[in-house]
Amino acid sequence: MSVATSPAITIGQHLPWVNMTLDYTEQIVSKIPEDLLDFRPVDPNGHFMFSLAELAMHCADTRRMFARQLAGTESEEGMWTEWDENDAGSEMAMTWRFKPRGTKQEILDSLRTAREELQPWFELPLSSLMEATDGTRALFDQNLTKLRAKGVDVAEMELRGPSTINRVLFALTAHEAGHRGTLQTLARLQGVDARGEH
Amino acid sequence: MSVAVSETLPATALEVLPWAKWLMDYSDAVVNSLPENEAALDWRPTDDAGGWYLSIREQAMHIVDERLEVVSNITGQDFSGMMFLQDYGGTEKPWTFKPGTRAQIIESLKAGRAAADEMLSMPPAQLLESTDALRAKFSEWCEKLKEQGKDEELAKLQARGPGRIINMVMFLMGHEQSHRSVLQHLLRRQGHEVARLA
Repeated sequence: MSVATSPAITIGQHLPWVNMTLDYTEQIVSKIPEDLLDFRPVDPNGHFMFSLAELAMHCADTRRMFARQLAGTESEEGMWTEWDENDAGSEMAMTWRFKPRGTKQEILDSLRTAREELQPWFELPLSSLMEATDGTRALFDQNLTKLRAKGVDVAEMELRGPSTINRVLFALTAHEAGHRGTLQTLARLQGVDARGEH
Repeated sequence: MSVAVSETLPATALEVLPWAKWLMDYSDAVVNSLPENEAALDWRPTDDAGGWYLSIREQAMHIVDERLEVVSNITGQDFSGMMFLQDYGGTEKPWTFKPGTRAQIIESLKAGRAAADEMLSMPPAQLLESTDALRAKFSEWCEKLKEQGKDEELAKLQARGPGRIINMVMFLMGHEQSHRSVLQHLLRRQGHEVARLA
């Protein structure tokens, strides 16, 4: 193997999948008719399922959450999710609650403004990709303190260290791709022409 | 915004990409939960908008294939004997796959996971590098775009240069999570208990 790096390239240019993933979500949301936004499928086994609007709002919130992790900003401003402190850390099992949704345009605007919060990180030089930020270091310290207080073994977490920019963007991309896949399938099953762009 | 270098030194790429492990575990759990009934694997929704869907079996095969394909693109290993796709139809026509039972799909899934884990056992610094196999692929793509007269796409590709390992891994995770979520959604809608596997 040999090193192939260019000092001029930015993180966003180096990782085209990040912006492609965000673009794809926005395209799918733009295709959903307003009157389908509240459609929620029923899980025959009784588990919670997001509505179409909630899937899009969750993607917007997660963009903000990751951007704010990097920036070290503790704020829920602009987010749609209504967090229940009792559910903290059990995202897979909780019943999600959201503020009343806006129009499709407001949801699209929310995706866009959340993406703008991420933009400064995409514009950093590629050489910063594997670095942690003050924000992720602070969050790491907070989480270590909390877990130690609960008696949890933090050895693996300590080895890994604070999240790097790469790790955060990696999580953002994989998370959003997963929810976009569901959103797209759900929309298509409701008759929306939201075919893939493989 | 300030960026500070992490002081911790994980030994392998997988340790700095914890999401890669969690996400592959998630995909593995969903594919491993495919119904035992072979006939149920061939269910596919119909698309009123005129498109087509991969069946449950084909979604799983595609997840398996792409994991093997990405590792092959990075390392140059040949996994064609374990892959299922016969004819890639893009977005224009249905894809065709070789016949494969649930057991064969799971066997190929495991092989892909083992190959991905082995590939990610490299030192983390190598993630930003390219490989001989990626450079060869890059040359192939450039030639193809040149033949097709797609000058703009070619210029973009050339500006980015040969793929780097980290970028391919990010593509794999994003791609795999989008198909995992579709597969999981279709299985849930069919009443299979796959809601809480992450």
